[in-house]
Amino acid sequence: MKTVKLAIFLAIVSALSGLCLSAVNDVTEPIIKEAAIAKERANLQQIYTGGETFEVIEADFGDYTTLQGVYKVSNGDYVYKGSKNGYGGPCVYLVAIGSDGTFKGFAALDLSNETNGFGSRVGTDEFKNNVVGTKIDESIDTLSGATVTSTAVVDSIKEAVAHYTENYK
Amino acid sequence: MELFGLFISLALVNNVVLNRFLAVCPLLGVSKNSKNALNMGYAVTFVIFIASIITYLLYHQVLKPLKITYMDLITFILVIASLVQFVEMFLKKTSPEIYKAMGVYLPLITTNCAVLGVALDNISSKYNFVEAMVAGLAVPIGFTLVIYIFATIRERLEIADVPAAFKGAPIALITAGIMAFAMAGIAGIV
Amino acid sequence: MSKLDILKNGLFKENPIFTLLLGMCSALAITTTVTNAIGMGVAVTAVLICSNIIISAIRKIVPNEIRIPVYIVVIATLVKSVQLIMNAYTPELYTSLGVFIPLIVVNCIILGRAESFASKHGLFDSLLDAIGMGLGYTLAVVVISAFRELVGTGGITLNNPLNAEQVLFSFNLFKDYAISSFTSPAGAFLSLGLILGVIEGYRNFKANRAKKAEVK
Repeated sequence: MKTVKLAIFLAIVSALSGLCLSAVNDVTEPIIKEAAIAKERANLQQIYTGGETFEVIEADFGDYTTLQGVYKVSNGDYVYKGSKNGYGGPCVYLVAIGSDGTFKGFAALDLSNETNGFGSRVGTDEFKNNVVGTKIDESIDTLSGATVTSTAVVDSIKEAVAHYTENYK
Repeated sequence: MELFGLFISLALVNNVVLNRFLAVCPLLGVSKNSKNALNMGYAVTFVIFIASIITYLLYHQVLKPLKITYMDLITFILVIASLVQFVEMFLKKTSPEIYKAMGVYLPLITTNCAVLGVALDNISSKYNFVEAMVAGLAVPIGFTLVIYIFATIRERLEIADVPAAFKGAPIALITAGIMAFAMAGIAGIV
Repeated sequence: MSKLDILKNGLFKENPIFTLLLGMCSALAITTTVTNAIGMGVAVTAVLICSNIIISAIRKIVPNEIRIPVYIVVIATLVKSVQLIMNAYTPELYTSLGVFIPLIVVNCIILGRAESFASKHGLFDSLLDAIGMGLGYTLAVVVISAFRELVGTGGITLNNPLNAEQVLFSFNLFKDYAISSFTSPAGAFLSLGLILGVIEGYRNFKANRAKKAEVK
């Protein structure tokens, strides 16, 4: 009987602490989430200009070594951040995949190391238009004469599609 | 092969005591006698291995799905405290001499930073179940190795000619520092 | 013990790190910079004050057999709250202190004071004890980290915890002669060992002087 009473006491204490923690968590969680997204928000807004909100998603990329992060947009799309070595160094970009199975957006973030004219073409509207609207299971029309950089980015986008298909489709 | 590398890295290179500063209290406390040190090592290995498994499952199967991950600290420490209690009762029944020799340091395994540290790291390093088990073995084996070597050194230090101000904890810490330098040399292997 | 004595006890006579040798794990790990040390010191003091007050308040209703698990749950709740608050408001400090914030739960100082003092004394005394011990801990880690940062990097830099970019104060003495191994783990053990040796030496010196004065 004594053990049962002791166990109940401990259970009550644990329940009380659970309640306190839940309250603290409610206050701090939004702030923490906000800080996580703040760093990437400026970049995400290059694709989504309509005031959508974003959320960082915890994901395990396993063998997809070029993927750095994935964000969920309030309209249901998923945005992948990838980085792959192009000709001169890492190329960082964002690609948005919509629930209808097409690419919704693309933004080149850092092409400072790429050769002018060839690699930096990944940052042009031509490349972007080749990506946006294409269905994710079809191959992307690369620039005439695929360069090291554009091939790198396209390969990385393929990884993003694979991860998306495995996890969120 | 990757798991083997993980094992070596956790046991030696990122040694829990000399590199990450966990489990320093038992290091200074139990290492005066090498036999006690070894027994402590066995007990800690058992607790950390089982605790890693239970806390891992608890986090991924219960806390995460229920979205109450902020309860991780409380639940982990209660699991650890119960495990230690269990080990205490087991030792008391099966080998009372070891139980007596370890004295107050046995319940103190609950507050051993390494136990909670490994449980928390398994989560934050995003290990899968197998990696968590490897960590649960590698870390305490590294701890046992260090604490045993340390104890044998300290047994010699007891009879050595140490300046009065440094006797006891100070010289023990300096010794640990030298051992840590030695361990840092292994870092190149992995 | 007078109220003032309780307060001063934690600072010098029973300094948790230099005398009681508790909480060593954190003392070695986070003393790489003075900023980290102050941040941790404040966190530990906050938890210590709250835990001593709560445990002193409930000391008469907690059944003796389960007092340790109950204290642990209380302390774990406080530490987790501190962890969440630090993650939200002081993210850089949260990242540098890392796993040692949740490890405050198993910091022997907190459970030790709860068991040996707060469970046996009234609210106000427990509060004073917590402040004294917390300040003693902070003093100790600041001393250790000042030593390590000075010898290891040649200078000391203090950052604002709420806004990590802002440097509150910084000075640099001898960058070229810095012994960088003092910021490494091995250096931590050495620093603590040396500092403890010096303190012990000073205590022996005072004790000898007192003895000689008696004999005379």
